[in-house]
Amino acid sequence: MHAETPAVWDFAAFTEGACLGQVEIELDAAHLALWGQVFGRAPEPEALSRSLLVSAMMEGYLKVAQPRPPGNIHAGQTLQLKGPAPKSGQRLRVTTRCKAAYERKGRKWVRFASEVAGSDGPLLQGEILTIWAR
Amino acid sequence: MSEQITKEASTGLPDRLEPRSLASGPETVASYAELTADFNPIHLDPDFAAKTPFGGPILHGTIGLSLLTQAIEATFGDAETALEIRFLAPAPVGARLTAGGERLAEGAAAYLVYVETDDKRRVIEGQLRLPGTQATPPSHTRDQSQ
Repeated sequence: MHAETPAVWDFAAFTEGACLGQVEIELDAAHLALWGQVFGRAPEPEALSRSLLVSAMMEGYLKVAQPRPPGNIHAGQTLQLKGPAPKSGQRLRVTTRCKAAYERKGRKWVRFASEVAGSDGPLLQGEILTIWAR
Repeated sequence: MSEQITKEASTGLPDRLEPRSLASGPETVASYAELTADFNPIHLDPDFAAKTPFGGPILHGTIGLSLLTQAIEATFGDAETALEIRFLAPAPVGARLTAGGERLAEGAAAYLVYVETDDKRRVIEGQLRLPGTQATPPSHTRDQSQ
């Protein structure tokens, strides 16, 4: 199931199981330079840090959950990392789904399932647990 | 860091993760915003952030999560890992973060992991498991099964 893109991703727009979208990200020179600026060291092209998969997961999620109301809180996260370290120039496909959307104790919780995959399969699977503003 | 990381003989697993640290500043969040397409003004705009309960810009939470991922890969290389964490508190832009972790029990292939500021305030905490690692069960578990 693929979600229709709403005018704004407010809580009512989420359907459990629906795919918000897929984004293709290349670990290109621009991504590696920014990562190096954040973490203060040059990336190793043949064995990049898996933390680039984490930033790719966030980039993919933020690009499809757009526009969204301000004030959402990233409350928790699961990550399963497997496979070899990513490489410079590798293309990643980031898929973001709504796994669950529910209200509890007056808060609106949305749990997103994210997968970051290379050509040989998933490298990162995780859940982004958020408290949605409205 | 010169502190020696010891390993348990029966599992070969270290007692602690290799820590990783990061000194942050406005340029850190500016680059991370570009990297992840997260331009929330709570991270980037001092005037906006001053009017929020945080009183000033805060680091993206996943900067700390990325640092924790680096501590895990420094310790275990490309082993399969399963991580579950909570973001406990925001860290102000300018804070220095350190990611680390300690094994939960003797023989266990599981760790309490965290990211904290220099004043030992934890901003991330959770558990790391190594699904592909054969670990000896804790001694009290072994006793019960006999």
